[in-house]
Amino acid sequence: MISCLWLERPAAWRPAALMLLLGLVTLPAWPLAWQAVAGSDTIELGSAFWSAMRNSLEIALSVAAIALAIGLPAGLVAALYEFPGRRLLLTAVTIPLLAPSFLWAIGWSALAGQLGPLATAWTNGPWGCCLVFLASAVPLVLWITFAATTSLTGTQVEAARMAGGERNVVRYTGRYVAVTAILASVLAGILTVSDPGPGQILGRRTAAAEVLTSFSSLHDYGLAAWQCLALTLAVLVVVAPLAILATGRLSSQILARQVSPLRRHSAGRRAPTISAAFIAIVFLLSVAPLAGLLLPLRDGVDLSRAWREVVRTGPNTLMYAVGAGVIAAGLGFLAALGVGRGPRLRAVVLGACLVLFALPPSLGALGVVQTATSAPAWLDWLTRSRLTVCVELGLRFFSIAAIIALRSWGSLSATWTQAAALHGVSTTKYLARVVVPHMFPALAAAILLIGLLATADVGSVLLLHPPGQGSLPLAIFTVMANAPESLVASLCLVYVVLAFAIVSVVWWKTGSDQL
Amino acid sequence: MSDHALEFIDVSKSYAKSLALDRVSVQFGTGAHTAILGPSGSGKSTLLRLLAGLDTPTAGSILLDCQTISTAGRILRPPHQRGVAMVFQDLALWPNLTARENIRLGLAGLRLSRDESFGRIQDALNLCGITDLADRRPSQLSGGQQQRTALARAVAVRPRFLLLDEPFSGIDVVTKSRILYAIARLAQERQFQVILVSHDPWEAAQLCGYAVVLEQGRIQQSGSLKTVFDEPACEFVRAIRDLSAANSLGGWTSK
Repeated sequence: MISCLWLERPAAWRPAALMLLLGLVTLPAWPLAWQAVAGSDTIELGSAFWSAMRNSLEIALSVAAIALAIGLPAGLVAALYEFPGRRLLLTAVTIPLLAPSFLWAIGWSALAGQLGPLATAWTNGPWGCCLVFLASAVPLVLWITFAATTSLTGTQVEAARMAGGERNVVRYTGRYVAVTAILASVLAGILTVSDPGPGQILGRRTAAAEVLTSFSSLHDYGLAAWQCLALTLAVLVVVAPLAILATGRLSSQILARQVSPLRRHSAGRRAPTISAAFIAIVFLLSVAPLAGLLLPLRDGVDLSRAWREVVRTGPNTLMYAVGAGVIAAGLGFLAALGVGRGPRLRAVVLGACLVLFALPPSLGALGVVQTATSAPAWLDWLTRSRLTVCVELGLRFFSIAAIIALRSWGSLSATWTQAAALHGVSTTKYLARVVVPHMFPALAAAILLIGLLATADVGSVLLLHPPGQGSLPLAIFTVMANAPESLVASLCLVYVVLAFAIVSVVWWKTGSDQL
Repeated sequence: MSDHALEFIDVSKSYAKSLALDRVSVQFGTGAHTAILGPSGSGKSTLLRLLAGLDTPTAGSILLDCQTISTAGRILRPPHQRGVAMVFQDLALWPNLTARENIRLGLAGLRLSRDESFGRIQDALNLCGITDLADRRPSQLSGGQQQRTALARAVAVRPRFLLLDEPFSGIDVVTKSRILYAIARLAQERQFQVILVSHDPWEAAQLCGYAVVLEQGRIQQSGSLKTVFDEPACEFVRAIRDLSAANSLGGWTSK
C-alpha cells in the first residue's frame, strides 16, 4: 500500500512530471518549431501579411482597452452585489464566450446590411471586428475580475465597508483586482490575434485570417507555417513577459483557497442602474448580433434542412466536444496532482497555461498536419482521424482545465490527506473516495466548458477533420457564403440555443460562486 | 534504553529557513495524559506531527516501545502502524462522506472483516453519542457534532495514543467542557493515552496531569501540571500565572 502523504509533500518528481506534461501538451507544435530552428529554406511573408499583422495588433489593443473598461467594473459589481436578474444577465453575458466568434461576425454583418451602407462601411472597418471580439473579451475580463474579487475574504470586505461605506469597498476591491483585470484584458486582446473568423467575414485583413487563407485557399503549407510562426512570435513577445511578471499575483488571487467567502450585499437603490448597465452590455454584445443573425428567419425558417445538418454533424460535434473536454480535464487533473501545494510550481504552471492559451490554435493544428504528411499509414488512427481532432482540441484547451483543476485542488485541505495517511488509507482509495468526488463538480464543469469552447474553435477542426467528418460550426462556416441565408440563420439559431441550454445547466449545477 | 512507550531523543526539525524544534528529548507513556503547552509558533504541532509520522525529523530519533520509528529524514514505521490517532485542529473530516463513512474510511488501514468493521463503527458512534447523526455529512453537523465525529473516527481505530492538535479552538466553553469530559471517559474505558497540544492551560487542566512547555522549539519545563504552574520556569507559564492572578483580582484594570 502506498501512503497518500506523497500527494502533499514537495518532491523532485513534481517539476520533472510537469515538464513532461507541458512537453506533451505542446507536442503538436514541435514540428513547426523544429522547422523554424532547423529549416534552411525561409519564405518571404510579404508586405500584405505584415499589414494584416498591424491590423490585428490595432484590433487587439482596442479590444483590450474596451474590455477592461467594461469587464472590470462589471466583474467587480457582479462579485460584490446582488441586483435583479443577476444570474440570468451573467449567463447571457457569458454565452458569446462559448460560441464561435464568426457567428457574431455574421450577425453584425447582417444587421449592418439592414441598417444601410453607412453601418456596413463601419462594421467592415476595424470597429466591426472589435465589436465581435468584445463579445468574448468582455466576459473573459469580467469572470477573471469576478474570481479575483471573490478571493478576498468576507471580513476584508466588511472591514472596507466599515471604514468608508460602499464607495470604499469599490475603491479597495477595485485597486486589489486592477492588475489582474489588466492582465485579463491583455490576454483577451492577444486571443483576438489568433482568431481568423471575424476578419474573414467582415473583410478586414488580419494575420490569423492570412494563415488560414494560405493553407485552405492557396494550399501553400509552407507559407501558412511561416506566417503561423511569425504570429506565434508576436504573441509570445507580449505574453511571455506578462506571464513571468504577473503569475504570482494571478496565482494568489485566482487560485486562492477561500476560507471565509464574501457575501454579496444588495445593491440597494443602485440595483436598477446596475441591472440596466448589464442589460445594455448584453444587448450590445449578444442581442444585437443575435438579432442580425436571426433576421433572415423572417423569410422562413428552414428547420428541416437545418435539422438534417444537425443530425449529420451532431455525432462528430459531440465527439469532438466530449473528447476534447475529457482529455483536457484528465491532463488538468494530472497537472494539479503534479503541482500539489507548492506556490512556486503553481505560479509556473499558471504562467505556462497563460502562454499556451494565447498561442494561435493553428500552430498545433498545422504541426499535426505536417506530422501526418510524413507519418506512416498505420499511424493514421492518431494523425488523420476524429481522435486527432479530439486530442488537438484537448491539448489546445488544457490551460483552462488546468486552471480549474488547480483551483479545485487548492480547495482540498492538506489535513484531509494527513488524516487519510494516519488511518492507513491507500492513495487509490483516498483518490477514489475523497479527492475525485470532491473535484468532480469542477472537472465536470471543465469538461462542459471545454466542450463548448472546442466546438466553437472552427480553425482547428477545419485544418484537421477527416473528410466528411466536420462539426456543426464548421458546417455553418462552410455553407455561410453559398447557402440560403435562412438556412444559415436556422443553423445559428440551433447552435445558440444549444449553447445557452448547456451554460444554463452548468450554471444551475455549480452555482455562480464556483465559477 | 528507557521503558517509556514513546520517546523523543534529541529531535530537531527545521523548515526552509526556520528551526521548529531544537534538540527535543521527551518521553510519553508514563500514565498521565500529557499536555504540550506553549505560545503560537513554539513547535507544539510540529512535535505532534513528528510523533504521528506525518513529518520526518531533521535530526534525532523517535522510539516506540524501544524501537526506532523515525530517524533523521526517514520514517521507519508509517503513521497507521504507530498505534496513534489524531484529531486535527480543523478536524479534517472528509466533507463528501457521512459521519459513518468517515469512520469506515478511517478503518481502511486495519483491513478488518466487514462484520468487525461494522461493529467498530457502531461502537464508535455509540461511544461519542452520534448514532442518530451517522448519515449526515460534516456540513450538516454543528461544531460540537463535528468534534464528536472526528473523535469517533479517531477512537474507532482503538489507538494507544490519541493526539489532539488544538481541536477545541473554535467551539464554545460548554461544548468544549462536554467533549473534554467525553474524551477523559473514553480514555479510561479504552485505555488510551491523550497527548493534547494547546496554548490554553484551562483545557490542559481539564484533561491532563502532566505538561511539557515549549518555547522557540525547546522544552523549557516539564513535570506534573501542578508543579509546572506552581514553579514557573519560563515566560509562557509566568504569563499564564499572572493572568490567573489578575483574573482573581477582577482583571488588569482593577489592579
